[in-house]
Amino acid sequence: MKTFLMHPDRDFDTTSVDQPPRPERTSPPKREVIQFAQDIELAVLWNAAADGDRFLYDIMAAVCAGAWANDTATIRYRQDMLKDCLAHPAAVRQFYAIATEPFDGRRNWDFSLYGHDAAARVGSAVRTLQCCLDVLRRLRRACGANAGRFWSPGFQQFFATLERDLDDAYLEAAAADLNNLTFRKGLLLSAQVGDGGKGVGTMLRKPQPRDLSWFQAVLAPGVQSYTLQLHPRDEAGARAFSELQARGLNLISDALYQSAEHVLGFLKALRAELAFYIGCLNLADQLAGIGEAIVFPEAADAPGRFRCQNLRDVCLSLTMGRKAVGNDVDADGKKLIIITGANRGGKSTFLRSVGLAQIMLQCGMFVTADAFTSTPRSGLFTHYKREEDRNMRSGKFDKELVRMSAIADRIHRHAMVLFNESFAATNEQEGSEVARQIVSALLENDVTVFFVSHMYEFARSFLDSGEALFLRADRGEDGARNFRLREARPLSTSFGTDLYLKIFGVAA
Amino acid sequence: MIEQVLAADAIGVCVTFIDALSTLGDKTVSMMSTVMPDDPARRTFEIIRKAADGLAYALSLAEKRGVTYARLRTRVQP
Repeated sequence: MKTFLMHPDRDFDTTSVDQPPRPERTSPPKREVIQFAQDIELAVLWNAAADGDRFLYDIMAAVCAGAWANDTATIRYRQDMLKDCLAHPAAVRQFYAIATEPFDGRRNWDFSLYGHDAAARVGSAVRTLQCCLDVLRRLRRACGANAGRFWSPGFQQFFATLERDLDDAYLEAAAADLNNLTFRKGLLLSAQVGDGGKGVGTMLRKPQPRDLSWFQAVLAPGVQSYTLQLHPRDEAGARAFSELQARGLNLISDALYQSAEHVLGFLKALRAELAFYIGCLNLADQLAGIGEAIVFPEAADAPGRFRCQNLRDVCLSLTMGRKAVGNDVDADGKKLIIITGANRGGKSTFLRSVGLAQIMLQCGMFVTADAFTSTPRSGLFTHYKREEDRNMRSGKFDKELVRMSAIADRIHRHAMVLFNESFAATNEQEGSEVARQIVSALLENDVTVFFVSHMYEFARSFLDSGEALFLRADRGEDGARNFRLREARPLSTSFGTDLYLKIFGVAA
Repeated sequence: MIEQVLAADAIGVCVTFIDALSTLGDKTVSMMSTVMPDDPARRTFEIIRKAADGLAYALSLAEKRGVTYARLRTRVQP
């Protein structure tokens, strides 16, 4: 039985959540997401979605790490489910609350599997299965009550699976079997006498009607039986007896243990997959609280699409607690977008909004924009300028090249790279040349590049290229910045003098 | 800004790639960090009094890190 809430055809991979990577063997995808997470402030998004829940935070991080493997079908599958969730948030939160029970600190004793000897394994497995059945019964009832209101294929399939595999007859039969397996009435074993009078061929038997009810035991004449009473202090006898018991239980303990693990695994997967939608609901609630509108982006099948209307930086909105300024860009068919212009004019914010929108699209989430269409990319990379490292192991510019080289080690074709004032820590002419070479090599591999730069030389070298789109952060007539970008060729000034005048208040 | 510092007769050290600053006035002294003449990727770490020549040898560093156009285009995986 599978949940299929995240992918139409496979389970959601939560290994990075289940086993926190140890320092010596950090899994590559995890590190990749961490690499650019700080540049586009993904943690703000995760925190908003987690709403204080560490598990939700980890799940959102894992979803983002796995975003690049999703095809457009998966993205649309999740978007449909998320639309259902947004329409019926209370029902989804109820499903999640039920699915979370086994992993809740107060009750997880009931759901723990343990034990080395057969009796303990059987005991813990039976108790776990009984508790799981109870959870599944309530889950099915909750889902059944809501089934008609959900239209997305993902939820419909999930409800149908529950109805089919967990119908009442099955649940009752399973409950009865489990009840017998608690062995409250004792354990019935059969064995044959083998060589040397040893018991061989031990079998566990289904309890006879006569053993189950005292009434029948009185009425029906039984076969002649012998009773061996163990002396309470007879330790050797007790050991021999439990050995006999183990011989019988061994036969079923593995099967029971595995079933319990399987059922628990189903609930675990359900909890992890629902957690993504709960995170999205939390995020939507927060955004609604600050008046930020959301829209479902369109994942384009055609290559090289990127088009947005009033695209806003969701993390800036969350941090400021109000709606941010948005941007319109039509970069369909353009592989290079160079952003120039005024300092503090919204360039970095735009760059971050692009990165966030792209990853949210590929996770199957909504974005904060009026419209957004983009082709899923094979990965997202960021190259931001950083302050010179404290221990001065190498210079600032060399550090930037080392980080570029690290990106080159992991990048694939059709990726997206965001550069923010990169390679400017040298003289402009040579910095421009290095940047031009790097960008040219990336474009040749169909990588989409967003480059925020003050290097006029660099921007100018792509002026005649049909692949490039130029955006400029503008200032109004009075020097005020409205934080909006518009399509315009680069200028050789970035209005740094304005800022200087504003800060120092004297003529240069 | 440097003109203001100069006007105040204060002593300042300015690390920059803007060569024009080194010829701002009589009071400025131009110093340069240098590279091995035969291998520009290797720095001598010696700062000597010398007029700015506008070269930062950035490309030699890019070559060393494998991110020039020729190297980078083949490093992207399919």
